[in-house]
Amino acid sequence: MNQKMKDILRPKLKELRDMIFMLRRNALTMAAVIVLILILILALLAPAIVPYPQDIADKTNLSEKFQPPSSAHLFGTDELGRDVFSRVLYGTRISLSTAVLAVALSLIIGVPLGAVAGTFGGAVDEVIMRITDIFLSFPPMLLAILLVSMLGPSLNNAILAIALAWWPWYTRIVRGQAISLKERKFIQAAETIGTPKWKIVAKHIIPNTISPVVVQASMDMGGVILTIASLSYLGLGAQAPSPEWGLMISTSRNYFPDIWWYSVFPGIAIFITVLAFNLLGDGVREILDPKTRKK
Amino acid sequence: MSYFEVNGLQVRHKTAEGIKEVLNIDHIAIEKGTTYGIVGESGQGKTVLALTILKLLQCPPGEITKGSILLDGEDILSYSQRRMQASVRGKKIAMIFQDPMSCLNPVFTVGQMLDDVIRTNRGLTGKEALAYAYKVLDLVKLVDAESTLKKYPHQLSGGQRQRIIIALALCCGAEFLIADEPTRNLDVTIQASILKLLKELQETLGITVLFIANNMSLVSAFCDRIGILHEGRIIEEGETERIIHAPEQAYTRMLVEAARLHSAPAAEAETGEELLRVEHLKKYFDVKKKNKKLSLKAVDDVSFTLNKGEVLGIVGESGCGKSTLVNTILNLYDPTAGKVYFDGKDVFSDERKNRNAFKKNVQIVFQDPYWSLNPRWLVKEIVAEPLDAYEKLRGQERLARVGQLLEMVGLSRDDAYKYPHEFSGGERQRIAIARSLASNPKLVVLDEPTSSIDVFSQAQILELLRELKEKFQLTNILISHDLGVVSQMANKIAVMYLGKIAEFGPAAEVFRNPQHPYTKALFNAIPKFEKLGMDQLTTLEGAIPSPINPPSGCAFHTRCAEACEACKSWTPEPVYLNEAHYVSCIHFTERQGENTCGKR
Repeated sequence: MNQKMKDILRPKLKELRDMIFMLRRNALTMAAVIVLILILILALLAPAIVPYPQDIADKTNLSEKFQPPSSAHLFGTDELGRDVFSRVLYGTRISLSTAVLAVALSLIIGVPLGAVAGTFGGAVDEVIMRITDIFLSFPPMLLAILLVSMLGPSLNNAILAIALAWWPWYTRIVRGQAISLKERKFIQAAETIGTPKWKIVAKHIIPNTISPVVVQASMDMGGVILTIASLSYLGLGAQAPSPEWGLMISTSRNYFPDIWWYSVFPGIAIFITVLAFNLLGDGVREILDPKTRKK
Repeated sequence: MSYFEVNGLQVRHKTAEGIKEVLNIDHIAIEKGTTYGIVGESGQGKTVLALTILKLLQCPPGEITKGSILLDGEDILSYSQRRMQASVRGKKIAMIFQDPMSCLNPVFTVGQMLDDVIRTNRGLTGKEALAYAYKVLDLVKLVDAESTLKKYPHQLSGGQRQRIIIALALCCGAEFLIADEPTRNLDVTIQASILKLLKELQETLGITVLFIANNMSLVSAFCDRIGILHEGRIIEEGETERIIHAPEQAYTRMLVEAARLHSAPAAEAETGEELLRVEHLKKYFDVKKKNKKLSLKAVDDVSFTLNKGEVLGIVGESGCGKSTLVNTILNLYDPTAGKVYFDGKDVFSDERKNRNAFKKNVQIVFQDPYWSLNPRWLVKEIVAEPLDAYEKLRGQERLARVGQLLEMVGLSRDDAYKYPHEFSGGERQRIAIARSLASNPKLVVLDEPTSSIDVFSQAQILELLRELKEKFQLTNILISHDLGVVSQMANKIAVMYLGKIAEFGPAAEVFRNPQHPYTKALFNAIPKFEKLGMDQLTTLEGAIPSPINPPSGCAFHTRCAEACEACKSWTPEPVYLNEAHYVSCIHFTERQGENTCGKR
C-alpha cells in the first residue's frame, strides 16, 4: 500500500477504532451487532448450508407433511412436507435483501429532495414539503397496502410501495439538517468562492447529513422487515412458494395451534431480526449523537 | 495558612486513547480578600480546575487521584457530594460561568430566580425577600430594578445577564467567587464595566476572587497575583507587576506579548489606485413586531474608498453592523440602497460576467476555522474548491497547485490527504487562508481571523497574513474586536456604531489621537500594561440601543460622555479633519459656535 492510500485510510481506521470503543461500552448494542453479523452470514451462506435446498421451491413430499421438530427436521415440516428450518433460513436472505432495497430506494428519493428543500427554501421548499406532508398524513402501513393493491401484489411491488411510503421521513430529517448546515460557515465560504448551487447541495450538504440519516435508516430496518412480512401475510407481498417469513406465518395460521412449529419458528426469526436492528439503531444513535449517551 | 489552598492536586481523564493527565498542580495559595488570576489558553485545564474545586467534575471519565483543596483550613475535597451541596456550594464558594446566555433558566423571571435563592439561602420570604432582592440588584448596579425583576433572561443584554448571575452569587452570601472567563463573548466596553463591578464588590464586601481567563490583559488589570496554567501545571506564579514586566517562562512572555497593544501600528503601505468604492450603502432587514413592519438598520449610509494595497480595519461592538457591512459588500446579502464599485465596475449590476469576476477577485477568511471547513472533505478538496469553480484544472495539475498553496501558508504537501479535524486551530486557519488565495483574488476579507485560535498561533497567523499581503499585493478588509490585532495589521480604520461610521482615518492617526467620543471610550476600555489597575479603564454605561429603533439625532448620545442637548436632534454629518480622516460628531461641525455644550 502506498503512502497516499495509508494517509486516506488512517483517519477512517481511527474512526472505526473509536466506534468499536464506544460499542464495547454498550453491551446490548454489541450483542445486537453480533446477532446481526450471524444473521448476515447465515443469509449469505443459506443456499450452501440449508439441509434441504430443494424444499425452498415448490417440491412436495406429502408423505412427510406436518412432522414435528426432530433431528432430521429441526423446525419440523409444513403442509407440503417441506423442511421449515431450510425455509426459515432461506427467508433471512429474502427479508434482509428486500429491507435493504426498500430503505435504499427511499433514501434515493428522500435525501436529495430534503437537501434541495432545505438549501433552497422558499417556494421549492413549500412544494416539496407539502407533498411529503400528504404522504405523511397516511400511516405508512396503510399507504403501502394501498399502493400494492394498485400496483398488484408481488414482492417487487411491495418493495416499491414501502419505499414510496417511507421516503418522506428521510426528506424531513435531511431538510432540517440542511437548514442548519446552510448557516455553517463552510457553506457561506463555498458561496463566496462561487461554487455552483447544485455542487453545494451534492458535495457540502448531503455528505454532512449522513449521520442522522444512517441512524434513522438503521432504526427503520426493523420496521421495514416487519412491514414486508405484514404485506406478505396479507397476501400483498411475496407469493407462494417463496419462503418469506410473513407468507409462511400466513399459510400456517390454518393449522395453528396443532402444528405450532410452522408458525412459531418464522415468528421467532422475525422477532430476533427486528429486535437486533432496533437495538443497533439505538446504539448507532448513541454513538453518533453524544447528547443521548448514557452517563 | 492561607484562606484557600490547593496542594498536590492531580486530575486524570479516561478517554478512548487512554488515560490523560489533565491537572497536576503543586500549590496555589490565595489570601482572604485578594484576587488571584489563572491564565492559560483553552485546553490547559482552567475549567477542570474550577469544576474540581466545586466537586462538579464528571467522574468518570474524570478521576481525582490525589491532593487536597483547603478552604479556611478544611479539606473540601474529602467532603461528600451532599455536604458540598449543603454547606459549600453557594454558601461559601459561588461560581460565575463564562456564558451568561445559557446558565440562566429561560422559563423563570429574574425576580423568581432571586426569590428562590434568597428563600433557600437566607430564609427570607415575601416582602423581606423582595427588599433583599432590591438591595442586591442595587449592589450590582442594575438600574430600574423594578422592571428588571419582571423580565425573562432573553429580554436582558449580555452584560445585564452577567450582573444577574453575580447578584445570584451574592444572594447566597458566598465569600469565595470563582469567575470562569466571566467577560468572554462580551464587548470590551461591557467587559470593563463588569470587571469594575467585580472589583468594587471585592473591595467593599471583602470577597476573595479566583479569576480564570485566557487573556493576560483582563487579568493584569484585575488581579493581585497571577498563576500561569500550561498543560495542567502552574508554570509561573507571582505578583501581577512582576509577571507583566519580568516574565520568567517563555510561555508567559508569549502571553504577555500577545496582549500588548502595539503602539506603533503597521507602517503606511505604498498605496495604489482605488480598488473598492462604497457609496451610501444601506442594508435594512425587515422585522415584524406585533404586526408592525419595522426595519432593522444594520448598515445605514456607509461610504468609504479603499485603495490597492491598503488594509482597512473595521472595529466596533458586536451588533454594530461590521459583519453585515462586509457581507453586503460581498453580495451575500442584497443591499437596500447604495452602490459598491470594485475596480471601477458596479458590483450589484445584473451582468453575470461582472458578478463572476467579482467573486473570483474577492475572497473571505472566516472567524472560526472549525466551522468554515467542511469536516467531511480532504484538505485537497477544500483548497481546490475555488480552482474547480474558476480554473478547471485536472489530476496532477490540480494537485500540484494545491501543494503549492499549502506550502505557501506553511503547511506540507502531504497535508493534502488529511481531514480538517486532524489539524490544530491555527493550522486550520492556514488551510482557510490557502483556500482564499487559490483563485488569485485582489481583495481578501478577514473576518476576525484570529479570535478563535490560541495566542501562540495568533501571532504566526498575523505574520503569515502580512507576508502574503506583501507577496501578492493584496488589499485587506479586517474585521476584529481585538484592537491589538487591528493595530498590527491595519493602516486605515473605520469605527462603527449602530450601522454608521463614527470615525474613519489612517490607523496611526486614530490610534495616537482618537477624536470621536466613542472611539476614545472604545480604546480606553482595554486594559494596558503601562497603567495597571481598574481605575484606568473607562466604561460605557448601558447596552447598545436597538438598531430597530435607534436613538434620534446622533445615535451615540445615549451613552456619550460629551453629549449635549443638540445631540438628541442633530444628525451629525462626516466632518473632514484632513483629507483622509473624518469624524461624525456634532462637536466637530461648523455649528460649533451655536451649540450649547461648550465642551469643545
